Amino acid sequence: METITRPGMRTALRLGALGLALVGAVFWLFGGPHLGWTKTSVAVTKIDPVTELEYVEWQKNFVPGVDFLGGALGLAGVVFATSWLAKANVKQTNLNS
Amino acid sequence: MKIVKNAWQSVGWAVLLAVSSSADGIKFDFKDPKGVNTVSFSMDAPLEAISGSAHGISGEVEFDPAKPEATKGKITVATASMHVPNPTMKEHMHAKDWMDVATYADLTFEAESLSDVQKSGDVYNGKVQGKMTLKGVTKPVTVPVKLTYLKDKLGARTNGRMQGDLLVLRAQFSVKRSEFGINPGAPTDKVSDEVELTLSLAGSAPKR
Repeated sequence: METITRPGMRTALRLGALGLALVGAVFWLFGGPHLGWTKTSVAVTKIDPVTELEYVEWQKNFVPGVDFLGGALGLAGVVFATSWLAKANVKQTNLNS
Repeated sequence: MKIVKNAWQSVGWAVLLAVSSSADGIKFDFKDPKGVNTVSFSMDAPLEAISGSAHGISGEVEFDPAKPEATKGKITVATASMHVPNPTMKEHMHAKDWMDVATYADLTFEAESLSDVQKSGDVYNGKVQGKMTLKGVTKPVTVPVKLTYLKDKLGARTNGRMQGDLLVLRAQFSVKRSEFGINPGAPTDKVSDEVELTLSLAGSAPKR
């Protein structure tokens, strides 16, 4: 009879939290890193050749801001906190051996 | 009786002169299908300034290069065309507390005269006296403007499809949002009371 220990829900949740935090941080870092609010459009400044007026054209583009980073880290924190409520490692007894 | 008749004649001439002098100005239409005409706005806020623009511009300005002081007209901005890059912020800006675009579809600048005019070539710098109506509140404003009169340049802008003149209007000034009832209760340490406005507009006067 052999007893093996398997990672339980607690470990899975903690790994999930780490993954969420990492994905959020990496996405934010590669999207700027923008220290303002999240944007779904960005202003592109152009100049009209005849009037020489400077004007803005809005182009669709997702730029994650600090609210996005905070949301990802906050969600990771919630998942991590939930892990304390879950079972730790699961011990399983193998009767065949 | 003759005196009365002469007086009526004088009044008639005065009216005729007033009408003809106002008809001297060139009427520029500021509806711009190219989407170049922009009213930009910016408000200071702790994390970053709230900046955006509006493109729904229309209106007419009458300008006479020989008599720039008589410049008058009205520019209308569709409030629903006001855009900021954050969608939640945009929703708040269009809502009842801020711009209430459902009730107040337009904001207007009405120019009544131009003073302190300084001409340099085709460029006229001066101060426009007029009224600004925002969220149903009308206030007198004096705004420094730069007008550039581009004679016969409409063709260059329309690839020759239309001939005529262009009038470029540039202005930068600020207003207090609380004076126009735009969320006056919002704490000024979160969003500044002062709103910076920049007008970059071009109007066209096609030759008929």
